[in-house]
Amino acid sequence: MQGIFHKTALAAIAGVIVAGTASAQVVVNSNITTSTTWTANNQYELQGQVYVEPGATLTIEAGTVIASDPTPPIGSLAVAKGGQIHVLGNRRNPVIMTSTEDVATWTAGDPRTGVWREAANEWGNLTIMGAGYISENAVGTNVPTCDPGNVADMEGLVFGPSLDRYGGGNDNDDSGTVRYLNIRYGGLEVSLNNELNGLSLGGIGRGTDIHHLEIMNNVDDGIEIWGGTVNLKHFSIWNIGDDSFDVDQGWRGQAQFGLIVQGYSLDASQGSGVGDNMFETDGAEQSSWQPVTTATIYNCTAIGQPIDGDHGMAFRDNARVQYRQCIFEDVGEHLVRFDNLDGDGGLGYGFGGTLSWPATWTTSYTQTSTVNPCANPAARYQSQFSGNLIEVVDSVFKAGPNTNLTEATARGVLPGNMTNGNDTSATTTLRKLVRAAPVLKGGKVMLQVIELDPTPKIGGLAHSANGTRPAQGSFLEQVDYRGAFAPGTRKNWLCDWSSSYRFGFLAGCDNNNVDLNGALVGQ
Amino acid sequence: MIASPLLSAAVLAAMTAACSESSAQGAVAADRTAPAQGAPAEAPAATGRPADDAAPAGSVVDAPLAEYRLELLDLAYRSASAFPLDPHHKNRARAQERVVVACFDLDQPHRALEYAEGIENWRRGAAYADFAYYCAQRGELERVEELLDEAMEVALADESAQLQGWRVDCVRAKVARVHTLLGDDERARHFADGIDPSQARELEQLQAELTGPDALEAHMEVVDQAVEIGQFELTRNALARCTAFYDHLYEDEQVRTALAEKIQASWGRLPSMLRLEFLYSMIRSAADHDDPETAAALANLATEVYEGANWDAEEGIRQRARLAHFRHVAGDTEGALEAAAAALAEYEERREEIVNMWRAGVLRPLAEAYVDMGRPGEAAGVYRLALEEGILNPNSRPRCDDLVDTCVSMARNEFEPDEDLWDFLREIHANLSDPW
Repeated sequence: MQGIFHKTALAAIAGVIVAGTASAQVVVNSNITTSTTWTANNQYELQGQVYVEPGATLTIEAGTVIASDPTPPIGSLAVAKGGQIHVLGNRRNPVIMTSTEDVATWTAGDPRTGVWREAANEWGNLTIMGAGYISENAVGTNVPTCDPGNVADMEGLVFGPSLDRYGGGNDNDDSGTVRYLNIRYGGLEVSLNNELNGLSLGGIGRGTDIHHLEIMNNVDDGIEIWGGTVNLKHFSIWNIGDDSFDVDQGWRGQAQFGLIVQGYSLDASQGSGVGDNMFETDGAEQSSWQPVTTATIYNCTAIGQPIDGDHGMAFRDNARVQYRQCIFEDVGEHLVRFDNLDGDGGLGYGFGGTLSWPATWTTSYTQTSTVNPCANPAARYQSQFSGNLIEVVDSVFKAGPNTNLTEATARGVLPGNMTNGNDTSATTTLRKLVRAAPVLKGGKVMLQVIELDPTPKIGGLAHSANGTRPAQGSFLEQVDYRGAFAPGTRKNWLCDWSSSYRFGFLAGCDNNNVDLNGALVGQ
Repeated sequence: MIASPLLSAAVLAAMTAACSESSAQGAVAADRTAPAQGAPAEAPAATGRPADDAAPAGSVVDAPLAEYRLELLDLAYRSASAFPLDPHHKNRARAQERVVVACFDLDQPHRALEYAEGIENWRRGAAYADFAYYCAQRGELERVEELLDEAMEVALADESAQLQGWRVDCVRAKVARVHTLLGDDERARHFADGIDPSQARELEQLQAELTGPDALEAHMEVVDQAVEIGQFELTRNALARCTAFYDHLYEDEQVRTALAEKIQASWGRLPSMLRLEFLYSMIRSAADHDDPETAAALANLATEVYEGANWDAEEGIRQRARLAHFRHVAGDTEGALEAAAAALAEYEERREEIVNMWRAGVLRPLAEAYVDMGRPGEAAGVYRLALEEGILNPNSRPRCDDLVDTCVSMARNEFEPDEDLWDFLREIHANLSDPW
């Protein structure tokens, strides 16, 4: 049975109940070489780094729980390039990837219950690798322009190139579907001294569908994307120990409807337990290489740590990212941060004839880089469709006591520039935001968010947008509000299925109903 | 309005929406089929399946095609359709679409439409739009509107297309392309409005090509300006058009030489793969104009470009196969055979560097090159090797994709399998089952 066996003794002891059905405990401790379906009537435990090998498909039914033990061999799941994963959760029965420590807090094994804990590092993560174009200069055969031969070795994986490499020449690549997935308490290094991100996406193409995803309490980044063109919609990232949303190596996708709630997962240093940047965007490992990160982020709500959080939007190595219809509240340091360098050898904006930092803000999105140009830039860069290469427009900012607006002001982000449609608010734009009393974690003062209705206040500055609507028919939906959540009486998309809902952090979900298929009713 | 004969194959190839699945897995096949796609309107080929009342477009008929090629297409389609819908609905539709596109390229529009009916997602709408384009290219306009309506209806009805708008945009781009071809710029703009920018740009490019000046002198200035500005896309498009002029005005040696020099002097900032594309286009032109000396010189230059670039095992071997093919096109069949042998040797040497599910994709271009060189024995050997490598993976998904692509490759390249190879193809098809 290829490394999968029923842990009958444990099942007998634990008596785990999932959705009213007695579940068997299944240990998965070797690679998935033949296509497999994990079913909701079992609970799966990963032991060691488990790969879905090229050609194999892992299908995970709605309601399935994958709970791994925090003792070695540390469980973790990676889908190699050429493999596929189909996580088929729904609103009533999401898929949960977590630790056995988390499951121990569930009432009678019911995944709809559970208690948030100060914890992370209890298992590995979910890594998916694909064949989209990337830019990376550590592999000797790579070249500085868009090339199907450019590949990279996935951070934190140590098997070797046959399973750890991602990147290629197919931006439409399809690694499967991930929907209604909760990832909790992860990030524990499996083989190297490398913390893992909650969800790592390397070279993932736009043929892959990822939506309704929440990462809760990871030790490293929440989501990190390297290259590729994957699009994300309806994602939530809470209490992450490093950057919440991190991109590099030429990501050229779009993201819409994202919630970031900064906090801590562990009492450890910032970057390994206490949240760092909300968005950290790197262009390429070497800033003059292509493809370079060129992306559009619409309708995100980012709630920072007002005392000791880090930056809102950090830019490095020629990254080109547009933020539109977003909400930033309580940023701990710079709202816009010109990091310039990533610390990994990249030489920043302006290197090798690329655009300078100020010029990138004033250059039209149509001007793809002429340094190391891609053979077909129109095909490689599809995510931006108007405006300038970097811009922050039609958004609203509520500063915290330590929010630094210097760079944001220099770049014309703040109101006063009549063309960008941005607003500032003295108070929160959200219907409810309750923080716990200050605590010291990793030497930083943290005010954890413990209750949140992330929908906009009626009539508030987030309630309507000024008109920089996404293109009709694109991945992006046309909405006329700022932030990730629709205003008014409609219930928000996090209710029912997410960890934040099940841990009791979400307010305003009381009247939410779904039918047996997980679809909303009565809307 | 009908496409200008000067419209380059490269431009038209680029017009194929990026979201569509190319059926030409091998570069040689792509080269062979691109001109057919880009050909100006012509009278439909004689005979083929007679149009009947059910046929959507009366004068568009399936061209005659050898029975074995039809069987290969049919096996490819049946294999693609063997994918279980859950969870492989995307994989299934993509594989089916590759066969449909091959049918269009082989002038089997009705077969394409018949196959398209089995596609259960937005790609069926894309196929309807492709059929409309095929009809429009041939002046058969009776049902174009209806087909375009159906194309959009299918796309908009697909939940997955709604989830990722680029899928709808793919169909919108194809619809806009038909209107552009027919000179209805207003409706083309309507459908192109707000779509993913690459597709919009491609449409604008086509519009410019259709209405732009044909004067060479003016175009040379355009090239100089593009190089001076340094804007990549302008340069690429300008040079692509140069290759079209190169072909069209080939008999004028002075002009031809000036164009060749202009292309090479202007490609300094373009990557190797694109330089090779221009050279291949020019080799084809030289060969078509019975100029083996020039073709050989260009083939040598292509070899230099290839050798000056870094390639990984997969791409390097594929490119070697392609070079072999164009050596043959240039008249150097002996050199081509040596290059093909070198590609095969490199494959054997570096095989372990290539994951098993991608080996067949490396080998198919080599088999196609051998077919074109008139070496069916070697082609059969490489095709068999591709099939053997394709079934090393224990899962039916990659096996199925390889079977589809190999069948399509054989059909496109007029390679008739012998009985043993047929048996092997059918056996692989029969064994498509769990685990997928």
